[in-house]
Amino acid sequence: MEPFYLALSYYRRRNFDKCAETCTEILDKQPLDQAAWCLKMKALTKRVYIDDLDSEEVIAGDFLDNDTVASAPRPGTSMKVEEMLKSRPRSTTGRPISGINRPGTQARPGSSIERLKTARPLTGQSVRAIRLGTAAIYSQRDGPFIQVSRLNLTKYAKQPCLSKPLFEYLFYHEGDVRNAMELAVQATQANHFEDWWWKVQLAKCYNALNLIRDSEQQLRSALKQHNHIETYIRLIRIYLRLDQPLSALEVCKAGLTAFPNDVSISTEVARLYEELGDATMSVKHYRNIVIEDAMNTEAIACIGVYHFYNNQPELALRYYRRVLAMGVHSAELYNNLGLCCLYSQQLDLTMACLQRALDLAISNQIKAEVWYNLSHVAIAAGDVELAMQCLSICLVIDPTHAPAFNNIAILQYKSGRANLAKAYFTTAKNLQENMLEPQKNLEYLQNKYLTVE
Amino acid sequence: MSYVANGKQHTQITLTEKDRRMATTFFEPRPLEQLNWLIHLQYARGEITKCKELIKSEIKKSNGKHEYAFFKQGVILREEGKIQQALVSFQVCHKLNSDNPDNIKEVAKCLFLLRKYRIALEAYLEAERTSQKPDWEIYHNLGQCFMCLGDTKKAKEYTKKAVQLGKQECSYTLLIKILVFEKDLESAIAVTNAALESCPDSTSMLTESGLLHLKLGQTQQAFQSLSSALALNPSCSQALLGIGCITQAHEEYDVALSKYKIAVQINPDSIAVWNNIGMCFFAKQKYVAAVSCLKRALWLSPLNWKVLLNLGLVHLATNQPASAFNFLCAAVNLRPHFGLPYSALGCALFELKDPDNAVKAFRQAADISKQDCSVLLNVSLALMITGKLDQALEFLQKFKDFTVNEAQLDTKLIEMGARLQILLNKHKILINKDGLESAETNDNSDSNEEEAAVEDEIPPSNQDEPREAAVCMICQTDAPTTVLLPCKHFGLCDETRQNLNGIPASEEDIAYDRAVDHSICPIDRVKVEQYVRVVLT
Repeated sequence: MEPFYLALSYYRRRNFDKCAETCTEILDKQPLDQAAWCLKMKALTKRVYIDDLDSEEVIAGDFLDNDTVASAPRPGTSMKVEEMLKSRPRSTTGRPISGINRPGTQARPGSSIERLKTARPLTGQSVRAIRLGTAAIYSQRDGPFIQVSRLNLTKYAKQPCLSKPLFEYLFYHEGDVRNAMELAVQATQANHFEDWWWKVQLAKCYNALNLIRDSEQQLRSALKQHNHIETYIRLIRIYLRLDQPLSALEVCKAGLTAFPNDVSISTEVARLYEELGDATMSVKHYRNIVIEDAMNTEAIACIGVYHFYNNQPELALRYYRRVLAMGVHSAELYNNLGLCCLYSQQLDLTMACLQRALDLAISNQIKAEVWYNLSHVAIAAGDVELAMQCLSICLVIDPTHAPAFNNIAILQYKSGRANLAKAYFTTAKNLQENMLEPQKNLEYLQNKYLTVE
Repeated sequence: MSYVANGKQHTQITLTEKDRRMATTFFEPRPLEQLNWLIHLQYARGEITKCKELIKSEIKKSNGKHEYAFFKQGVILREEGKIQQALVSFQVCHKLNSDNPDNIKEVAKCLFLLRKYRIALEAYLEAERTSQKPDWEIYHNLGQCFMCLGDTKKAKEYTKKAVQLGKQECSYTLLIKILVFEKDLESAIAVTNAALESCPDSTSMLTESGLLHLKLGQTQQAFQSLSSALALNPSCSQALLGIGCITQAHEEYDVALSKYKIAVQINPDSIAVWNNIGMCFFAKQKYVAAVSCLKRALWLSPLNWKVLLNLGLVHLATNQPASAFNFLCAAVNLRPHFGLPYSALGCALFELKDPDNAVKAFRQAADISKQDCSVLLNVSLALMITGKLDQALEFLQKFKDFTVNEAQLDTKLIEMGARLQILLNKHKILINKDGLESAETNDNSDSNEEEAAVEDEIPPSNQDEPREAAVCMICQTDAPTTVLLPCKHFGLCDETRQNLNGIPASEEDIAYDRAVDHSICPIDRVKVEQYVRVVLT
């Protein structure tokens, strides 16, 4: 069989390793075969490709940033204000955890200390670059496929067939944002600033290099030429990084007029409203999403969360069962199911669900949360001792779990050990400064006899 | 204040040559107090930065001997929340002029704010010694210090002195707090009355008095105080709660609900309000609303046994004994020294057809709360169902002894007691005649007794369970004839017994490859070793 045809076939069958091998063989014979070279690039890129839209890591405390953000923003205009949804733990602190992972929500807000423990520098670019770099290493057998430093970028920028795969190779496979950007700049010039694709790529590069405002400009100009959902979403993300939720909402609206009822843009809107603390609007959008796409796990799970905190655990249970029926099988989901069962008084199922959640939990964080919830089950049965044991296990697994410290302190206080309670409250307060409960409790313990003057 | 000097005009004196020479020899330093008026003025106007600068320069000029400047500095620092620094400043004041009780008072206040109660106490005692005339503030703060150190007796003594001298509202509040702490409600009420004479427009004092009256069961006075508190401040949630409580006790549930509705808007996180709203709905027989309100209360405070008890009662009333059992169990676990949850738990167990454990719960309730005669009735009933007639009669006798002494008792209870007596006697005769038939007669008579009065605050006390007539547990028609051994269950008729052996494995069983074994007891799934046919005479 014609080896190039074989390579193409491998590529279509997503058998990228073999495709790359075949291309290498072709290139050994004919080192200047551009088609094979291009295909090999594409195959190698595809192998390590990640959807950077949904895996973007948003760094919470970007202290190296030059963009100053008002420290006391007007209400509803910023997302850095803590405690937006009262009586509802942020989905990231997770009770119940919504059962889905979203970009930038894996880390608990309190655990930014954990991030600081690693020696990794805290810029958005380096995190991604490290990950992409490690992915790229294993693909190289003998020497790099392309010597990036020796590439004549100007030459390739003028060839539209080669420039785009080459850019993606540089950006995703090599993780070499600088050269990729160089290529993008020259290609944009070669296209007389008329190709929207190159503008989006340029924006990607700027974003990776923390040049957010430049990135915004590129995306805006791309949108003038061509309406594209990805461009809209990237622009929304830019405004989120700048902590300008209202501008982001505006972009969402524009996007939704261009693409009515689009699921991904609606998802962004719903997430935004949730971050802003407007649960009802958020749920409204999630419901629209479910009408469009009945299998959207995130939307269903979020509607479930809304009902749970709206004192309707039975309804929430229905939504989570739907998610379960769709084949999701995760510790978070079982945890949520268990909590719904607990509060809708289906006690026989509660333990089974939480047990399964414990069996499935891999990360310590989830394990700790499940044990924390188990303590609530014990409290519901009035068993203070058992609740304390559950909380102790939770703390063994995650020693930075401030709510657990707070609750264990309350239980100790109830069993008459006021001094121990005080110590636990202090620990909780130190672990999570912005948590109100331990502060209030401590004040209560200390000022028990005082009259207010 | 002795420090405020109203700007001494310093007149310009033209000095002659001779005078100037005099001035060098008899140099009189500028008086320290010269700019005190300016410091005070700037402080009072709120020009804090200017004031601070002035203070600094004054202190520098006086080589750190300026008492008033240090005093004001301390006051400003304390207002800024820098208590430790303020303390240092006041200590300097005290060093400069140890005769002034104001200085030591401020030092003590700082120490108090720093929560060093014992040292603060000593400082206040020192202030008391140095001050020429008695000062209510010192006594009040001494009372507070003693209270914080846990010495209520001395605290009361000093607060009383403060009240006599100052008639200040905060001292009254402190005194009431101490008295309530000592559980001396009568004198607390007396204090509130005295306080209301000196400050009749204080909402908090009126509310306090109302709530104290309510605690003592003097509803009339409580209502008066709370209404006047509400007249002064219509959005006082505590007063609204109190008034709601009173109206609820008088069974005017709609009025109570309207009060609670306002209260819950002001204070949406109040457990008591949600609990009472729930019980109002319960009284109006709106069970779903009741459950959701009580659940809200439980969500806010998962360790509140009262809410758990009420939830248990609502579930008992809606025929959900299993849920009721869960809530009541939790309530019992959280408050094991209280009779009410036990008796409710007994009722739930009764409904769940577990009379043996119900008896245990009732007995526990009877042991704890000796005054509750309905528990005695329940014990006796449960004992009767389990067949321990002698003990049942014993408890009934206790109940009778109790009712003789007690004059005002629910007639319903006495009536039920009498009916139970008749029933027991009947049983006794029957048992002598025939042990097994008694179950059937039991059924008819008990159904009359079943309407148990469930009240909102007082839990249901008299609940009964109709015992089913003995039928085969599989076909539910014929009388049982066979006893299964070793579990000793008596519940299969002849026909079913024979059919059981002939039943083929069901499709479901085959599909799941389940082992088919019909030789297990349908009640507790114990493997049956022997079937024994019983002949009834």
